[in-house]
Amino acid sequence: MMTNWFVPFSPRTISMIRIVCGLIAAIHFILLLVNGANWFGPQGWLNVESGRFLIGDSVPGTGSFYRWSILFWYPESIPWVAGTGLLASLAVVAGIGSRVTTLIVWFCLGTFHQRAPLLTLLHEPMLVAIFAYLTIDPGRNSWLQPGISSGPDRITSNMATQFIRCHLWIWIAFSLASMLASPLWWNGEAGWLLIQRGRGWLRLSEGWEWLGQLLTHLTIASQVAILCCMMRADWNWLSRWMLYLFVVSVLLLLGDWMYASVLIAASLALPSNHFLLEPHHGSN
Amino acid sequence: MTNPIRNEKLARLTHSSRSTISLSTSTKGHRNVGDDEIPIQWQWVLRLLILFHFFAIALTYSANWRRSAIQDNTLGSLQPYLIAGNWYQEMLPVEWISDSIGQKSVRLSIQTTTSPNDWTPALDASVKNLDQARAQRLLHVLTELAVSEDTQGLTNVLKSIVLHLENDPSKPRLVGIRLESHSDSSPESQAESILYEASLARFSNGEFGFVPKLESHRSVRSLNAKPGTP
Repeated sequence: MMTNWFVPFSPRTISMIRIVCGLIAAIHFILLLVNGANWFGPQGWLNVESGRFLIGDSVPGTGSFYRWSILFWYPESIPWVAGTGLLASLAVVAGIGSRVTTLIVWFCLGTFHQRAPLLTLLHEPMLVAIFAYLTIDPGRNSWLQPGISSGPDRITSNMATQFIRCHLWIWIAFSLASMLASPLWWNGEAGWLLIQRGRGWLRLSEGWEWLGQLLTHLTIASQVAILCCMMRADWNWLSRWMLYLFVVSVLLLLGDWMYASVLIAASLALPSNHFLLEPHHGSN
Repeated sequence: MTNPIRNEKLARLTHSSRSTISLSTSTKGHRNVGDDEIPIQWQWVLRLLILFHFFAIALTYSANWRRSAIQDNTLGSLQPYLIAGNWYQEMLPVEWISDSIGQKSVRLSIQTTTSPNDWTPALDASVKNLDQARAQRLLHVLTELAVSEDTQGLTNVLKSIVLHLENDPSKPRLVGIRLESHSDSSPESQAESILYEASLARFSNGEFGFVPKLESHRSVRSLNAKPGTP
């Protein structure tokens, strides 16, 4: 059971994930640096008092006691947290500090996530999870130290990749369940409604409802296909392409390029075409 | 005829290979197998921890849809790990489209002292800017609170919004606020239904409160109503 988790693997895959996620986190923190105080500051859209109310502060069973965000006590520190997160993200991209900087990014992401869990954006849960797994092994590639760009295979590299892969599976299952909970995704209306709201990249006029319905079914089907392909070893390579199909739906219907970017970063943990990929085991 | 190179690639890519020996035959020579192996006892400990971790996450995610009492109790005991570890996630921010109001978009409009008869959009998710994604989330939360008739929760969040909008002393003060839905995504479209509407009552101590607008189908009989009419 789970024997493949303890096999050494090249750190290249996890290094690529780290670099891509570091870039996404850097953009995320730049946006928070610009307008974070406007949302979570003392006079923000959701001030501390309302934030505490929404997490069910002092209500038994809500677990609000475990929400550790320092922004509840020091709401003025938003620029500092976002700035620290930005610097740590850039260090993660450059491969400086490895686990320490990864942990700092996770902490800064969590600080905002804990502050207003109901205002969490779509890309945040997956991004914060990936950074947690990167603390197991952030890879070795460092742009500043080209001599160690190719490192030996490590079990921790494999474990971090496997963690991301399993988490992605559960996340897609969750995403699918959230859609199937609504009749709009069953009767094909969801895609057309999202197009009408103009959130995504796809703009259609009246008469193209059939395309909206087709995209609705495609979104659902791609997630089902991802889940099925990830469960079969010989279909694993196909799961990445199904995930790209899902990313297309995200962009066309939601226009959420940050979420799409995180999904693409997570897709690196999935095997690519095994007939074409060069063996990179222990080499670069 | 089997192709050993292709089989090895497949084994690596699918991670289905158990054998560290087959990997150790790599000609790259970067790795000493003995250094990388984890003792079998520790492997079992790690397996249990990994299973626990993903069990907790799967439990959290699935509990957002429907949950049983036993699931709720288990989640309650796992809260320190799930919440403090940033693993706890609710469904509301994950939903692409809200089922509560069907086909309509939602926006928050205000009346100010300078134009007490006009409703001006204050928070509109259809306006594309840096805040759009968060605005959609906040409107989603407000909509769910309004639809579920959680007036306490709704007014609590609205209070924060009013304070934010009145933060700048140069801006006019608010006299009314309403959450409205509309099917057209353009900002100038008319409201089709009102989810919540209230006027602001100012108190002498500087505080304010919300006085909800009575609905047209009020249950209290009008004084001049004809006998037999509700």
